[in-house]
Amino acid sequence: MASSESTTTSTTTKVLRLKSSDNEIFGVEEKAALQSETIKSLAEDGYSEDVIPLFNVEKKTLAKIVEWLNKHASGSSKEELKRWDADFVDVDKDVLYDLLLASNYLNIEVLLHQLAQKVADMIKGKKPEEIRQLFGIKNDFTPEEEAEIRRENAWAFE
Amino acid sequence: MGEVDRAFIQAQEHRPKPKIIEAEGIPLIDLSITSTPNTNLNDPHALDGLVEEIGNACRNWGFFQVINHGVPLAKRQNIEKVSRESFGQPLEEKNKIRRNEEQVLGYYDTEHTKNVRDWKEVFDFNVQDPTIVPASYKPDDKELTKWFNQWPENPPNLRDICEEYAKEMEKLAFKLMELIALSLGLPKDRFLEFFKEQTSTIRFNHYPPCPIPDLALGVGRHKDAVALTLLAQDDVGGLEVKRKTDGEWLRVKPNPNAYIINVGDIIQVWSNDTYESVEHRAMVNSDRERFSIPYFLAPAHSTDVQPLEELINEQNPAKYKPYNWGKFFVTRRRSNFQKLDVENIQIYHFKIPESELAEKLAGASSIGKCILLVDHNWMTAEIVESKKLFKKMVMTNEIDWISQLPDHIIHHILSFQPGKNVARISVLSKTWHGFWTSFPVSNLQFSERLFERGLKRPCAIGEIKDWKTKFARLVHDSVLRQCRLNTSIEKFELSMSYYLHPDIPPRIDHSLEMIIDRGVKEVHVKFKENSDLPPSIFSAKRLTVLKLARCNLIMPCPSVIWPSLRKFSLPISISNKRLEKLLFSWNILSQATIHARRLKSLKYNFMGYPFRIWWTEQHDWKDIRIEHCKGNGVRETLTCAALLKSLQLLSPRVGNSIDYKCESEDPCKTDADCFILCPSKYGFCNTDNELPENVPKTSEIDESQVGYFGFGGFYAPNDDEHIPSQRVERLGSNKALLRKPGRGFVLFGPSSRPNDLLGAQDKLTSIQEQESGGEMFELVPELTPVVTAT
Repeated sequence: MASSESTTTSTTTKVLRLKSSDNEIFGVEEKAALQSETIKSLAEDGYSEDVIPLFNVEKKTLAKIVEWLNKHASGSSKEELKRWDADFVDVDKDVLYDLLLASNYLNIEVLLHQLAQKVADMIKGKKPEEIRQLFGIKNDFTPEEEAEIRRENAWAFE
Repeated sequence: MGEVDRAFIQAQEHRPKPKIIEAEGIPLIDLSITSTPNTNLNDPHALDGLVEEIGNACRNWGFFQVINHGVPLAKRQNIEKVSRESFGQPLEEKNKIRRNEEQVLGYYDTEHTKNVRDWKEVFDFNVQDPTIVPASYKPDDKELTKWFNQWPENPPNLRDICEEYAKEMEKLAFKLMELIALSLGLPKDRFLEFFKEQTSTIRFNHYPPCPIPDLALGVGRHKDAVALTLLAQDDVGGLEVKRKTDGEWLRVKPNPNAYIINVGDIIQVWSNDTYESVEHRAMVNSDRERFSIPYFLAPAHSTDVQPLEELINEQNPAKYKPYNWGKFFVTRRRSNFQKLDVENIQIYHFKIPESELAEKLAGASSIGKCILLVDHNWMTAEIVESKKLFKKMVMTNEIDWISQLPDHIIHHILSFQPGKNVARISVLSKTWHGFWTSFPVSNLQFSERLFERGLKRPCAIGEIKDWKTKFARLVHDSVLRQCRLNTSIEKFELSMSYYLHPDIPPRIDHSLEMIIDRGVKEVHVKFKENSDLPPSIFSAKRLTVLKLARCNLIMPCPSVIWPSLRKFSLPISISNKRLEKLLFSWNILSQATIHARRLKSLKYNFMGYPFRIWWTEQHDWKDIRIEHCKGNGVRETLTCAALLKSLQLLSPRVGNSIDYKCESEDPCKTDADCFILCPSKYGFCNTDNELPENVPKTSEIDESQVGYFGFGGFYAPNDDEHIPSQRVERLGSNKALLRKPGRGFVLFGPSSRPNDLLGAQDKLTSIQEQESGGEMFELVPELTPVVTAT
């Protein structure tokens, strides 16, 4: 009997409810949701029956995150996932920023890694001037200071 | 509660210490002067002494006790009595007045402080009934709501007693606020306007005996968000205060006649940090229950808390942005219903960063700056507003959002970039330069050539010394920085011309010392002209790869121990003319012994001086190649123990000889799978010399133990011509020596290289049957495809 009981519990898909900072509730299968360490620890602390409040994530961002969690729990093939992920991170800068902070807060290591990679790719191969342009970085060095730093790191400007 | 809920357990560092330090130090202040009729309160100096005492206590402690405070003892005893009685009611009674998201006042037993559950039950009522507060924590929501007290049916006189007591406490609280105002040099009624519509609360705390007093806390460490707290505690004691001077937790001795007063966060903000709110906590114990009744003095919900303008000026600018007390308060309240994974809202979320204060002092101000205050944890009015603004600025590139990310994310992003790119971004801005200098780089590469190129113009002769020194300084500074960051340095590559200035060697040497200290695994040093390698290299115990070019190894002692070394390389690829010069510098290496137990591969240009490689018994040598480069007629002795996997001895000149001597217990045993003696790498085909007579003394080797035994010449450096047949014949004449029973042997074909052979080892074992039969010449073409397969 005990064995049949355990089978039923393992096959039942439990849904966790995640609440965004602006009070939108998302239902996510436990298996998918637990990819987030933060949600995992909240669930372990007994929130799994209630709504899990995620004060740092707005609904717009949480919707994206939930999409990612579901996809990564869906058992898609590696190649498909890779293509899908590439599309997923191909977003506007402000969305990228929100996703970075949210995946950091939710502690989803794989996603954070992908997003960091995306930003890294944006930087890659660009000249400092182009990077400044891309991210709106203000150059606050005096020409002398910049020349000095360029020289110190001359090996990098090869 | 036989089984203790995990939620009560405090993190290790916050658990109570077994040793209790009783606080003698908290100032005890006698307020009798304020309540004696003789005191002329209009005399501005009558209170001077008291005001000074209060000021000192607030500044140095943030905590003090008051006696002769004017609250009648009977009223305090009454409320203590009803407080005990109320907690004694059955749970179903208490649950009738349990607080929830709508009714926020009343009974509660699952309070959390810093997300750890407190070991206590509480009953709250507000001094003003109803209290007006914002309906929502959301900044845009202007709606207000009323909080009503919930009174229990029993004890029936509880409400009256509480309301009477509240009045007395209010008097005392206002009196203290006046004294505090005076101590800050303000008019005595300066603060009172804030409390016309107050949100003050009185709380009954009950701490039942706790089975795990060493793991849980009655109330976890916290600061009070309110203006002032006035605490009545019973004789059990348990309040602990963090001493400002050393952070030690001090227990406040119970004094039933005294109130314990502490400055809250609001006073800290009002006074612009002149008075600081101090962390405190409440302990529980396993045998006595404890009761306490704090009064939390808090201003009207509409109060925008900010440093008082009288207390700020250009030299002492406001350290906080204004925040709305009502919104702050309901945000806090809300969190009491949930154990959050984030920190609760705190005043420091409104604190203006030091850097910005400095800029303010300099008279600068700009819209982008408020963004820096965004703490991503919280959605308060300012934050939501600034978030919107922020987004807009991100889209329009007005703000550099990437720099606003937490450092660890930036480092994560940078970790995808080669070290070069990371260094390159250091010119973006000062912030980014900071990311670079704080970025751990485990592979350090320094090239003098590239550094020189960075000068962008040819160097005048007189400047060479200068920039060479600068390069050495760069190497040194970078290494130092990484060491300070505690980076584990994997690889260090240095390529420079030579030492010119006496300042350079100590810098490079010190850099090497530092990276060796940090357990560097791989070192590549390349000099343009032969230069001495700093002796510190010989103490690199964790070194696995050492690649040197034109380095003079000055061994500090005849024996060197590199216990982890796996690869060691000292290549020479220069013309013969320079060889003589080099030889000179290698003199030093005579008689050197290297102990390198894990060395798997050794490439060493052997200069003809007695050099001894010592294999210890545990060694795991796989591949040894020794090129013998000196003039004719040199005899070398190579001594090695058993377990050799591969040995190549390559001697460029005819007439040189290498004696192979096995020094293991059984002198004829070697496990070498590949054993190649090549007495003439360069000379064989180029010169018309005969094959050397001094072929290896094969009698000293038991070929049956050798996987392959090769003997012969290589290709000519410049043309791939075939070995003239008579030489092959000559080789053939050695056949007898080699044809002894063995697992196989190989004769090099004209285009084979020793490396090819090594790479083809596996394949060669399969053809071992073909050994020793017939003409050697015929053997070559058959082997060639195998040998050159790589």
